[in-house]
Amino acid sequence: MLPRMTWIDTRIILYYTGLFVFGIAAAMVVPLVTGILMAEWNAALDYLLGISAALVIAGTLRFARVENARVTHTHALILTASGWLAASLVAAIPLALSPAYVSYLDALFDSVSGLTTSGLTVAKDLDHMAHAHNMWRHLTHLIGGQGIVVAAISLSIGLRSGAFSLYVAEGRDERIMPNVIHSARFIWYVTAVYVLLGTVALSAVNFGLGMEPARGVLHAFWMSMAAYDTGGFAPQSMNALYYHSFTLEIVTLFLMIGGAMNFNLHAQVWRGDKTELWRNIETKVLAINVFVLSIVVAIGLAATAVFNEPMEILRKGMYHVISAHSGTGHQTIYGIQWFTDYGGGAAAAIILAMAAGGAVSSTAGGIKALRLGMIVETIIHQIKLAMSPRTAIVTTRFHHLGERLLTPEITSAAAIVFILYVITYITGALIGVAYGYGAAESLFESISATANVGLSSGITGPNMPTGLKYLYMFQMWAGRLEFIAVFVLMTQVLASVASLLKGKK
Amino acid sequence: MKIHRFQNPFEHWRSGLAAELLAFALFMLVVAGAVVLLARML
Repeated sequence: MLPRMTWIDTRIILYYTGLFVFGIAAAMVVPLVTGILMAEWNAALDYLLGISAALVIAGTLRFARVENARVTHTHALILTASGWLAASLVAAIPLALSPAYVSYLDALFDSVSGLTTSGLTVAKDLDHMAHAHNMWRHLTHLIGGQGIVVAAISLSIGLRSGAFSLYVAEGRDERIMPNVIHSARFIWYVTAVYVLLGTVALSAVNFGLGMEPARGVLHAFWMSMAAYDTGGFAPQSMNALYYHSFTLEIVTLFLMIGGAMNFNLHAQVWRGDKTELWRNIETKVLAINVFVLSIVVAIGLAATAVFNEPMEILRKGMYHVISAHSGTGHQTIYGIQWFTDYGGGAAAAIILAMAAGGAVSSTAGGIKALRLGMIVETIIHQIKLAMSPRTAIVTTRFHHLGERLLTPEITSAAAIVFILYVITYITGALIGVAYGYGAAESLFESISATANVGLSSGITGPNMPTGLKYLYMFQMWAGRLEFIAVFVLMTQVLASVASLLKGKK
Repeated sequence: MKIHRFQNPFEHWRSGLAAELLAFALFMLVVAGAVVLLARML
């Protein structure tokens, strides 16, 4: 029988969820200030109201406080799932007040997409959105990319008890330093360095393109956050295509690759061990995948003959392979071009890249390179085993931040998450087909949502069916948290409802 | 140099960052070279 939550457990979760909501209220000060500086008074008012609503919710949840409460592993899983949900619900309030969204549901879709670093959007008028709202949308990538829990831990806002369980529950498999608070702070430090470098480089690009200084810097900051946090939002509806700049594409490629790297790998290289860059199984898997898929996409594009020039094939091919593989979702073609101009073979390669995803403990989503590497190593191990005498002891080692032994526990953990992703990819695609969309488009969009990529085949938009909006929001949320935390929350909610119904009988 | 698992990662951050960016650039050049070569042949 599953352990059921008591009232004390519920209060602990509600109290800490309130802390996350408080964090979202604090982050909303940034778009509020942006609105004031840009003289966007309506947008500034939206954030004033958003902050007020968030503070009321956070303040109410503080009454659930339990003295000397200890956050257990189960609490951590439920709290992570509920914290992300609550943060999305609150982050959507100011967006819902803006004229860029048709309803609260659409605003919620974008806040879930932003926080999970997916990048799918249902905004109806992105090109005329206030700077304050664009600041908030991109800031959700920054908060969600590093992790809401990581943000709370790094600020040490009352999360010392059970901090490591929370850190792991949010999809960070390994701590970087002995102290989990220091690990969380390192994640922010790396991000700050990359986003700062990206902002400087992209500002120069934007000035070169003739943008006004303030607009150029803001666009650069937003695109840097979106690229490094492998989010994929952009301030214009044409996404990266708006800029028509090869230099911008190169800078964002650096940021996307950096964002798709394991924070532990960053730490190891920054400690001085540069050999880890090419010895690590994750970088090997990512490099081989990107190389092979770029070649497949190039062949596919050459076959369609829409993109003829070698440089055109390179820009439309490799850019999208890295964008898809890193889970970013920046695109330089229109959504409808995926299955017309891009062609079947190239689009299939992009689908595979999205499904595979980046590294574990990075801002990227998807199955992840480490798990794919484990599965390949397991297959090789099984072949070696089959070819050896019955009495032989066969061991397989792999390099990931040191030499490690492939064990049945590691293999099964990788296989379970792999299976969960594949089931979710296919189920989402089948539901899309049931709504009347084509199989290829549905699979593309389902994988893009679950793997938190954000490339769109054109299904996602303000006019898409409401059921699909809920479906993709669920896929983005479950995919970002790698399922287990979401399943634990759902099991507990169902168990509580069943218990209530039994009690009534 | 022996690198300890929990050594401070802030110590060599500049050279570490430079190594990362160089590795990304080299990797992209290799992929781009292969793609352009292939595109010319097709």
